[in-house]
Amino acid sequence: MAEQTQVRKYGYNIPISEKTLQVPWEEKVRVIEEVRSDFRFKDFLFGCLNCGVCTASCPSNRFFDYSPREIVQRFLENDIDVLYDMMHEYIWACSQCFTCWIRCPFVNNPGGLVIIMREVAVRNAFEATKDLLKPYGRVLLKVMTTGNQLSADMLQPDFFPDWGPKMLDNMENLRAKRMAIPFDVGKAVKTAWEVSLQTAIEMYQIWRETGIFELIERLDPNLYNVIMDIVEENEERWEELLEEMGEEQA
Amino acid sequence: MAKSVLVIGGGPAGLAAARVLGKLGIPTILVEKEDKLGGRPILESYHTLIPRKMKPEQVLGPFIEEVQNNPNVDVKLGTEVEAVEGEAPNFKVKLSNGETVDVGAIIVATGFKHFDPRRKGELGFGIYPDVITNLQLEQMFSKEGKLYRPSNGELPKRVAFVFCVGSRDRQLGVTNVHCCRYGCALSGLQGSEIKEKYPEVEVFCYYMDVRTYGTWEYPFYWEPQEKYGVRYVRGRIAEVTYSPKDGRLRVKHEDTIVQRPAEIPMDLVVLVLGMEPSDGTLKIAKILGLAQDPDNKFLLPSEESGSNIVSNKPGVFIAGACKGPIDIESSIAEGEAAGAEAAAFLGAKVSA
Repeated sequence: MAEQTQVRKYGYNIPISEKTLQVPWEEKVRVIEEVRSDFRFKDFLFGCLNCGVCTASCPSNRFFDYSPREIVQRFLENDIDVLYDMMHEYIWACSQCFTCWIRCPFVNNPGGLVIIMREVAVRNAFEATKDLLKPYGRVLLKVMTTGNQLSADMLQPDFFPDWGPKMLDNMENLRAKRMAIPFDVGKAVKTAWEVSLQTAIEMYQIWRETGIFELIERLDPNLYNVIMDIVEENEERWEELLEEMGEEQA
Repeated sequence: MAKSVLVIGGGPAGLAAARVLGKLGIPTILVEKEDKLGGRPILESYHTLIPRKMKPEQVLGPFIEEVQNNPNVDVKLGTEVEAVEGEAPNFKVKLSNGETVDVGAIIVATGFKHFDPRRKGELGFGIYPDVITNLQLEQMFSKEGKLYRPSNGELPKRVAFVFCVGSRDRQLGVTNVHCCRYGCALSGLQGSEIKEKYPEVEVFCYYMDVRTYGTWEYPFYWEPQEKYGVRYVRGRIAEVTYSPKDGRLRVKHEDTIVQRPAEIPMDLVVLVLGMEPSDGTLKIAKILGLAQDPDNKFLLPSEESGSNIVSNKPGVFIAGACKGPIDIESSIAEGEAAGAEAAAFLGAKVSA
């Protein structure tokens, strides 16, 4: 019989994955160190008395094997294997409501620790991260190119197989329906509101400076290409506009 | 002529200071803002005091009687200190009744105030009538002699004590990080009192940790469990809500020892209130220029003397809950020590 090795568990019943156990120790330490060295980290973690107010307040805890108290405790213990493993699935159950933060008597911010862990997971292009973000590709495309999360034209039957005939009917003549809304919604269909080209150009500048484009490239090269096509097109349009304005003034 | 001593505050510490000064034959002026001596335990009708399980009248009665009957002690009720001029041993103190008195030393015993639980909105005090404070529970016992739900007057089936309300809580700012010191023990006592009278009532104590220090461990932590069946659950109450379906409250917490989040029906929720410096303490600190903790604003003793009742200002002594949460018997001991120190301070000046 093969030798039985006891797998350590966390949460209510989550074994540390085989994959995590196979990652070299130094690599796991490096990743957790990247989380700890984030400039926000010292403001998000203080002491902990295990009072459980965070977990009792946590809406995600009601539905998932997820506990903000455990995040805090694992950081205080510096449990490298568990922290590393958490970054692949566990932390993605957090709904980022920050009730843990506004209730914690120490003012720890478990939701904030989750933000940092997620960012590090994305920066390191963890496979799990790619899978988790896949369903959000359309939203990501919209945000990166227009700054809008959702628009009317994203509500298409292809993406919502559970829609019935009534809903399908609703989605016809979208533009006319948008126009009929008695207050100003920008009359746009592809975005939630009319996006100014200048604002979009400034936003791209921010994506560039903060390395967000590179991050997307590592996560999803196809999505990156689609995004960059639109970005470059808009930037060209902007350059042309500037030239036209220069000519007019001259 | 012997200089006299001014004692500010007629609670346990102030009464104890005035009593010992009177016994030593030192002319003493005791000013009390309210129109009755005794401080919070008497004014607010506490039921049973920790740790000796005596009634407030039993503990403070002898002090009040002796202070009132000792010709050396001049009790001024309904009076506050307005201003203080000069240095020890020649303080000129202006009182709110228009008098100005000359004293050689001052004892500050201005006490604490209860935390206002409405500042923790999620606990539902002031919203749900069945959420009460531990002070209200004391008064329920002492004034009405029975336990009931304010919403319908019936005996509660389940009672929850919520520890550390306004204590050990940075959410309220740096002002409320300190421990209230008495809450764990008083809850153990109140829980036992409930179970003794109504064994059918289930009593739960929700704690972060239980701080029944020293000899308080058995009577206020073990005995409530062993003898009376009070149940202790580790987990701070996150919120109190109400269910119109059954008219009962819900307390939400995580039992962090068995790792189990829960939402439990309760009929009566008792908030265990923290202590903050009283308005009088804050006022006198300003008037006398006394050192205060930068965070919680309680008065700080000077470091030079080594004593914890000698203030940073020569001739001014501080005793009791104006220095931080304290139990009544320690408060009395501090008052007596401050009285002796004040007497020694004046004696030294006189004999020099």
